Amino acid sequence: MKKLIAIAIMAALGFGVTVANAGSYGKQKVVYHINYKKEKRQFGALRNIQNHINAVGKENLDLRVVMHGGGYTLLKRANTDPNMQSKVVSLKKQGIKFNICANTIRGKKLNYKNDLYDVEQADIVPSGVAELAHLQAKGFTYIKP
Amino acid sequence: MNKDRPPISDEFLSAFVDNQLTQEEKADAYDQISENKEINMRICELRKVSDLVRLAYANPPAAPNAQEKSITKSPRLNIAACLLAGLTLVLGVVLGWNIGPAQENQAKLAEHEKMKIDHTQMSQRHKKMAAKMTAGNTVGKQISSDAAATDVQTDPELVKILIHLNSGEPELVQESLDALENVLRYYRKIGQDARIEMVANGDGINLLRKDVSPFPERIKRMQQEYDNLTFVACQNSITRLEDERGVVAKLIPGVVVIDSGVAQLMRRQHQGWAYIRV
Repeated sequence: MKKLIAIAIMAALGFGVTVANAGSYGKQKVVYHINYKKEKRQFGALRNIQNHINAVGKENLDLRVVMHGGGYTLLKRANTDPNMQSKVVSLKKQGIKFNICANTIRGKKLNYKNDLYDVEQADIVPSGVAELAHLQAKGFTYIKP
Repeated sequence: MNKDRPPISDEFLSAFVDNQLTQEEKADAYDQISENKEINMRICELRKVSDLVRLAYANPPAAPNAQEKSITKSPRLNIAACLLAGLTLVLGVVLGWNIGPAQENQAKLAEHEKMKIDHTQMSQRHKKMAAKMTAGNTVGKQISSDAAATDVQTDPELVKILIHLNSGEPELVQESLDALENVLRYYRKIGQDARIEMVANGDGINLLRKDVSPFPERIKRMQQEYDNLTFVACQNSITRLEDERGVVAKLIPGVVVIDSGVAQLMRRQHQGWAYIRV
């Protein structure tokens, strides 16, 4: 009987440990907001996102980046700066979506195919602010790094 | 108080706080508020009360993300749901045990139920489309072509957004106003009901100060153009300006003063508003 209890306790503990390892944060839906053009701050944001993935696990994460205003310069930089480009490529490979505001593209007179790195029609949202509000209403957590 | 105007009643202020006034009434109220410190304080109090009432009745059906949050409703409801589920399970087992063929009927019933739900969803969508079409043919056409291009979905409920400005950096302030105006225009275009509040604290309040704002005319124009937009200034920041620099802030007419900008951010998020920091 004692043995049985001991086994039960060990099994329970073992179970607890595996659950904790499988991602102590559970599933997360997160939106990162970038509307600034300072290079250092943009790199910082991308680093935050990578750390976020490392902590939660890419399979547990629906993470979007919404850019508007000065934020578009991140994807402009990625066109010419190999360091920025490799960061964006790496994050995209881990399932991170980069969305950009149509108003910004129009306002700054950008040609998204030439001026911005790897942007498709589907990556363009009609309004950055509306997208941020919409995602929050759908349960996404808002982060402004 | 102004002599040639009747004093403002609490009912009137309540209607103002709850956004139930007509355009003219609102403009008039704004005029009086900006002139009168006492009314300003009363508005502050009323807003606090109405916020508290709303907080007390958390998860009202009209909240935009109620569907997401409803999972964590009240424990009593959860217990009721559990009991119901348990009962259904027992009933199902007993029924399944005794009358096998009934299963078939139940399956049919379930299917019928599902069809009914699909149908109501469809008709709701149709109603919405019809409403949009009647809103004006040209607008309707624009919506459909844009919707096809960008896969726009309107939220069924009122969209509520708080935009937080706490910087006076000229480029950022201008871009923030651009973003604010873009989103207002966008919601108007797609026929989405929305309420937007720009809350300014710290150096952000300079945008709303009559004498130093870089865009006073633009603010006034936006106030007139969008009755669903409110500019809000933080009383703490105004007080600090006076204490630290001896400056008495004069605000652009129509700007509403709130006790604390930070408290407002908290209240609004509790009420289901989206939060965006520019």
